[in-house]
Amino acid sequence: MMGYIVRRILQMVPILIGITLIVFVLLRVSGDPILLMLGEEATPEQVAQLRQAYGLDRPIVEQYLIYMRDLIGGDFGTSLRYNGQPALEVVLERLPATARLAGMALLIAIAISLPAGVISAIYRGRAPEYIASFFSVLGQAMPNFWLGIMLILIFAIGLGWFPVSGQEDRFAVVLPGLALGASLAAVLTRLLRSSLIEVLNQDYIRTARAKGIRPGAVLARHAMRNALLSYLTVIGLEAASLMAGAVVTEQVFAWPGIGLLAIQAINSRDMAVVQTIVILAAVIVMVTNLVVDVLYSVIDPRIQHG
Amino acid sequence: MNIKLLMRTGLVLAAMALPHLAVPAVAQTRELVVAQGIDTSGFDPHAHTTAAIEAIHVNIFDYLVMRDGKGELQPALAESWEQVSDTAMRFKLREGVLFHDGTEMTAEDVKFSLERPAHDESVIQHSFYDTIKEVEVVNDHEVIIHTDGPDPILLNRVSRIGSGIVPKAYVDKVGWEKFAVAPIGTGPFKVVEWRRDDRIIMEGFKEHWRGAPVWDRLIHRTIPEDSTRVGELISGGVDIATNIPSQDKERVDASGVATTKPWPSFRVMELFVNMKEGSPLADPRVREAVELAIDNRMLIDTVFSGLGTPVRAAVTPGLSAVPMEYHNTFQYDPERAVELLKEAGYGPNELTLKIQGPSGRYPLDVETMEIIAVMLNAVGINTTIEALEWSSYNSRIWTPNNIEHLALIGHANSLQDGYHAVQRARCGLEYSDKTGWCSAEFDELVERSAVTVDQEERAKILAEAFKMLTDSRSIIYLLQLENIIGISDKIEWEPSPDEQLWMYAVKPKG
Amino acid sequence: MADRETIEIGTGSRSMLATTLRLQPLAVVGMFILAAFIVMAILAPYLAPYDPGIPDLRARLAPPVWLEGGVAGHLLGTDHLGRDMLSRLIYGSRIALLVGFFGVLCALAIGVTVGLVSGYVGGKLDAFMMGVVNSLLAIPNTLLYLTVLAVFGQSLFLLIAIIGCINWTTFARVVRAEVLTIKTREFIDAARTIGQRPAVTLIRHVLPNVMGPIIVIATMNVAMLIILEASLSFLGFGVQPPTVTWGRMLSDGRAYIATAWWLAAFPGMMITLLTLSLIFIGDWLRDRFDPRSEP
Repeated sequence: MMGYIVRRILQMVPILIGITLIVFVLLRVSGDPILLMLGEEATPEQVAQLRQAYGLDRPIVEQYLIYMRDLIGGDFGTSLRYNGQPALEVVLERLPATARLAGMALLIAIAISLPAGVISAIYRGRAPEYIASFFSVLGQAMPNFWLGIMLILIFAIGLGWFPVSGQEDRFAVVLPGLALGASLAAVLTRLLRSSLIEVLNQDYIRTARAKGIRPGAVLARHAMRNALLSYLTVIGLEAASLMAGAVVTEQVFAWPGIGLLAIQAINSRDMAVVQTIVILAAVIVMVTNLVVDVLYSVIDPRIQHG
Repeated sequence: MNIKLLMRTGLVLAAMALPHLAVPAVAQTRELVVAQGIDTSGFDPHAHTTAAIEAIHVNIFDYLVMRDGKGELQPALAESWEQVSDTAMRFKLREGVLFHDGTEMTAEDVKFSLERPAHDESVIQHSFYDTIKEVEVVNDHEVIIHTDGPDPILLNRVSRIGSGIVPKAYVDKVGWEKFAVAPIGTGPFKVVEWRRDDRIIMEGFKEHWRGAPVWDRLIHRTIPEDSTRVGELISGGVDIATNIPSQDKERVDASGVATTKPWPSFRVMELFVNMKEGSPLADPRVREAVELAIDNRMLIDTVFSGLGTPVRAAVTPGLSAVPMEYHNTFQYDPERAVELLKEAGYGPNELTLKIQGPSGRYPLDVETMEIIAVMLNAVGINTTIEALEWSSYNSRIWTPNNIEHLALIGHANSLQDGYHAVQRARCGLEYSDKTGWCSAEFDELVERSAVTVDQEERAKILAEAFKMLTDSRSIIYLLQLENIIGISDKIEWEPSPDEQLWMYAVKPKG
Repeated sequence: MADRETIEIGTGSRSMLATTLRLQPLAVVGMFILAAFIVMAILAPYLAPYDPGIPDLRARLAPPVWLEGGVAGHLLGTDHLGRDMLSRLIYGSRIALLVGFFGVLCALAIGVTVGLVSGYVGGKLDAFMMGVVNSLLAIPNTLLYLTVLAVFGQSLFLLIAIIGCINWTTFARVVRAEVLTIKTREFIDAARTIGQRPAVTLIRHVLPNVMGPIIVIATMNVAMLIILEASLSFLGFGVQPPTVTWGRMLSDGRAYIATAWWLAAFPGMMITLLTLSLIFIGDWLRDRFDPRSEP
C-alpha cells in the first residue's frame, strides 16, 4: 500500500508539468494580456512598450522555459492584473473562502443524499421514493446560479434570515453552500439509490435475507459496502466540479474565493495567477482521488492496489 | 464497519464546518458602504485606465486640481496656478497638507508623482502624460510644470486618473509593489485593509486638509452580480450601489429604503465602419443609409429603457472644447435610406452586412447589436451578428483592425477634452487604421488644436474637425450611456457627472 | 462455477423478457415527453408562431397572455427585446437536445472505452490512464472553451464537442470501478479458463453489469450539459445570439426575476421537464438491461 501511495505521488510530477504546458499554450493562443490591460484606448507603441517590460516579446518557448525555471525554484510569478503582486500570495489568500464554500456544499450534499438515497432504495416504488426523486430532479435541473438567485430573493431579501452576499456574517455560508451543493446532492441520491437497488437484488443478498438476517443488517453490511464504491467515486470526482461550480456561486453571492479569481484571471489572461490556480486545483484533485482509491481498498479488501 | 466509517467521515466533515461559523464582532461606528461591480487591481495610481477603479482611488489620493459637483475645475492640492509661458505653468501648492502617515506634502512629492507617468514608458498612464517634460521645484510649495510645446489641456491632465499625489519618501522606502497594496495619499480616507474582490476597508483621515470626513469608516464592496448588488441595496446592506440595471429601477424606488438617480457617463457607444476598398461601405451612400436606418431614440428606449442620449459625435456634457450641437441629436430617415441604397445599386435584401461586437463588455451590448440588425433589416439590409467574448473580440477583431463591416465599441474620454475624442482618427492612428478614413485636412486641424492655447480659438478648430469626422460617417455614433446609481434614503448625496465616487461629499440625513 | 453463470443468464433473459412486457407508466410518460421535445426541435419552424429573433419593439416584457398586461398573440409573453417567448422556447429545444445528446454520446464513447480497457487490463496502462483522467480534471473548462473560441471562432459544434468530451472522465472512473470489482468475480476467471477472448469477456459480462450506473449517470449528464451551457452563458461565454438556447434565456432572464419572472421561469421549466423525462427513461432502461433486477 505504501509503495502504491508513493508511486502515485511521484506520478503527479509529470502530470503537473504536462498541465502547465497545456495551460501556457492555451492562454497564449487565446488572447493578449497587454491588450486587455490597456483597454480600448491602447496605442501600438504602448502595447509594444508594455510587452517588452513584461518579457512577452520573447519567443514563446523561451517564455515557457523561463516560467518553468522560476516555478521549480518556488517562484510562481507575479500577477499582471494585480500590479505585480506575487501570484501565489494572491491565490492562497482566496483559498480559504472557496474551501469553506465547497466544504459546506459537500456537507449539505452528503447530509441530504445519504438518507435520501437509502430511503428511496428501501421504499422503492412507494411514496418516499417518489418524493425523493422529485426533489432530486429539481436539484439537478436547476442551474446553480438560478437557485442561488432564488434563494437570495426568498431567504435573504424576502425573509431576511440570511445576509444577501459576502462572507462576513456567521451564517453567510449557508445559502451559497446550498446553491452549490444541491445538484451534487441530487446526483448522489440517485446514484446511491441505483447502486443500492442493484446490490439488494443480487443473489447473495436474497440468500442472506432468506436465511433470516434482518434487512437492516443486510443493508448495512453488504449493500452499503458495495454501493459506497460508486458513491465515493463520484464524490472524488465532484471535488473538481464543486470548484468549477463555485465559480458561478461565488459570482452570485460576491463570495471572494478562487472561482471569482479564476474567471477574472482568465479574462485578463493573467498567466501567473491562472497557472497557480490550475496547479493548485490539480494537486487537490489528484490528492482527493488518491484518498478515494485508498478508501476503495479499505472498504472492499478484494480490490488490491499492486 | 462501514457505517462507522461513514459516521466518522461525517463527524470530520462537521468538525471542518464548525469553525467557519465563528464571527468577529463589529464595533459601532459611522460607516458608509459603497458597492460596485468590480474591484481595484491595486492602488498604484499609474497602473490602470478604468474609471470605476479611479472612483475608489479618488478617496485616497488628491489631485492638484479637482472637479467639483458641477464638473468645474477647482483648486485642490494646488491653491492657484498661472501660465508663465507657452510651455510652462506655475502651481502654488497648498501648505500644511498631510499624508496619511503624518508627513507633509511638498513640491518634491508633486515632482515625483507627476514625473513617473511622464517619463516611465512602462507605466500604463504614460501616454496621457508624455507632454510633460519636467516638473521643476521652485521651493517647498511651488512647482513649474514644463511641457513639450504648448499644452492647452494641462489642467485636464493634472485633474484625472494618474495625477494623484503620492509621498516620495514612502515609495522610495517600500517600492511601488508594496505601495500598490498599502497606499498612502492625502485623500479623506486611508486604506486599512484590502481583501481582494471582497472589500476595501478605509478609515476617515482626521487630519485631511479639507477637514475630517463625517464618516469614521468607508467600506468599498465588490459585488459583481447585478441582482445581488440591488438586493444588498434594498435590504440595507450597502448605502450606495452603482450600475443598477434599468429593469430594477422601479423596484429600488419603491423599496422605501433607497432611491435611484441617473448617473451620466462619458462613454459613447459607436459603430466603427470599414470603408476600405472592397467593402460595400466604401460607398458614402451606403454609409449614410446605415446611419439613417438607425433610430437612435428608439434604440435607447428599447434596449436601455430610455436611459441614454442620442449623439452624432463623441460629445458629452462636461468635456472641454467640444461642439455640443452633436449631443442629443440623431438622423433617422428610413425612406431616404432605401433610396440611397438603390442609388448605390442595392435593391431590397441584396446587401448583407455583418455586425461584430463584444458580449458583456458594455451594458446590453448584444441587445444593441440585435436591435440595430432589426433596424437595418427594416430598410432591406440583411444582417448577420457576430458577438464575441471581450478578450476574443479584442484580440481577433478590434486590435488587429479586422473589422468586416460594422463593429460595436464604446469609448470614454478620460482627458475630458475634445482633442482626445477625435485625435485617433488621424491618418496612421488607431481609428483611421480600422475604418480606412484618412484626411490630411482633418489631421492638420487636430494638430493645430493641440498647440492652440486660446480656448475659444481651439474650440472653433476642433468643431471643424468634429464636423469632418461626423460627416465622413467612418464612425456612426449611437448614444451616450447613462447609468443608474442607487442611494440609500439614510444619506444625502448628489452624484457628480464624472463617474467618481467621492465619498467626502456624502452626508448622513437628518 | 459454470452453474452460477448459467443460472444468472437464465434468470437474466427471463427477467428481461418480463420487464419488456411490463412497461412502467413513468417510462411511458418520459418517452412521451422526450418524443414531444424531439418533434418540437425538428418541426420548430412550423410550430413557432414567430421568428424567435425578431423583436416586437412595441411589446417588450409582455407577461403571459393569461396575466394582466398580456398581449394577444404572445402566449407565453415576450422578453426584454419583445421577442416571443413561445417561439424562442421551441427553437431552444434544438440546441438543448443537440448539446445534451451529442455531448453525452461523445463522453460515453470515450469514457466507457477507456474505463473498460483501463480497469480490465490494469497495471501500468491503468495507472497511466487514470493519471490522464486526473490531470484533465484539473484544467478549468472555461479556459479550454475560451481558447477554442479564439482559435476557431464561434462554433456550436465545437462547443458540443468540448463540453461533451470534457466529461468523459466521470464515465471512465465509474466503469473502471465496476470493472475492478467484477474482475474478482468467479465467472470472469471461469471465462478465461474456457479460453474466451478478453474482449468478448468484457462485452458479454462486464458491460451489462456496468450498464446500471452508466445509464443513471448518462441521463444525469444530459441535463448537466444543458445546465453547463446555461452557466457558460451566465459567465459571458457560451453560444452567442442570434442562436437561441434555453441556457442563454435563463441567464438573460436572471436579471428580471423580480420584475418579469416568465423570462427565466419558462426555460427553467423546459429544462426540468426534459431532465424528468430522461430520468424516467433512464430508470426503465436500467431495469431492462440489468439482469439482476427483480421481475
